[in-house]
Amino acid sequence: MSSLPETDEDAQWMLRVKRGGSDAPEALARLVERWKQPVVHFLFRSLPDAEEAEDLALIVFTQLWKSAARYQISARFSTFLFTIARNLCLNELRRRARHPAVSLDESHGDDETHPFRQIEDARQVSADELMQRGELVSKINEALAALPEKQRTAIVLCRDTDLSYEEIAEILGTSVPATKSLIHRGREVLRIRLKPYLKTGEWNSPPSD
Amino acid sequence: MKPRPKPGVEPAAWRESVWKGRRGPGNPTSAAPSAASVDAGQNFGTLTSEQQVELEAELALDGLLGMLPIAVAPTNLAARVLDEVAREDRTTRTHGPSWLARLASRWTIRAGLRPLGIGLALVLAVVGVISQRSLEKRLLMAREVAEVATIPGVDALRNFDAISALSADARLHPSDVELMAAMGPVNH
Repeated sequence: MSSLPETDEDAQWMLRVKRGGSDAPEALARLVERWKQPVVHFLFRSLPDAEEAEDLALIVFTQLWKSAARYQISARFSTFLFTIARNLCLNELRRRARHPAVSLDESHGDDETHPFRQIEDARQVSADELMQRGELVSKINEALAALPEKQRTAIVLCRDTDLSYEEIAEILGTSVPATKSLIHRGREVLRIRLKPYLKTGEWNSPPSD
Repeated sequence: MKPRPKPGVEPAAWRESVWKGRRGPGNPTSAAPSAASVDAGQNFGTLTSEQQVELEAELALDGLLGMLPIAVAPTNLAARVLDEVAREDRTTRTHGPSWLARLASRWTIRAGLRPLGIGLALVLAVVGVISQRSLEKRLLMAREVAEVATIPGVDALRNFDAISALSADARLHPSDVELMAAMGPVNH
């Protein structure tokens, strides 16, 4: 599955970072190595731009270092880390909403120097199918991006990480039943939005979040 | 692959199991199975026709979400993070914290709290003594003014009896009479 299962080891490494001794950088490097994939993936699902997700992941781990003093051993490391990631992601989305700009990187999919990361295996797929699939993926992304932030975050954390419902609820600052409700409603909205496109190719741009 | 619930699981469990998905960034190469390839009834126990329809819809959505791209984390991220942390450390050391930050630092607050408290108490004591004296002075003046207010007013002078009473009180001292007698020739 996606993110690595959290162990006591993570908390131990984080405590070393918190103590700030000579082995703190090494401890931080270990944590980055263990958690970079789920964090980058989570940020990519929320933004979604691979390069910006990488840049933001760098900021997330730097912030982890700065916030180490606030880490309590009683808190799970994954919850601590993803709370930082979510907050920074929210800031970025708010900044974008305030200063909307057209990204020059959006055409990466067609650019030979920036291969389309979205396509997994194009070996036995015709160009037509490839195009259709690319379009479908962009519609799914659009529908996901249009969801309210809490619903999207709950769906992504639930589906793409090994976090429990309790941990997701803690990150979102809600209860477990509320988290399940967020996932249920979010998935229902996705189904409703994507259904006409899948049946007839009809697409109504969803209202942005 | 995501573990599937055994046949006969609770109805709510199948939904949550589907929500958890089958593929993640840790396993980006495995393709999500299409909804059609999944025999819902077989994998999730006995479901009602309504539940089966919902399950198929959830699986179809899961298949679609499985098509979304995977962001692969850069291999040098840890090195970049350490560089960034070291750079920030250097910046902090070079410029040092601002005077405001130093002022607000815990050490400064702790060290400055006692003299600040003593100073504040002294100022309050001095202000208290000064206000007390000022109050006493004002009370004294008020008392004196109240005594002056007992003299008969102008209206009382219009009363003849009152004027007579005042004249009767105005007796000359013997030494004054002597003085006036001595000055008599000079005045004339």
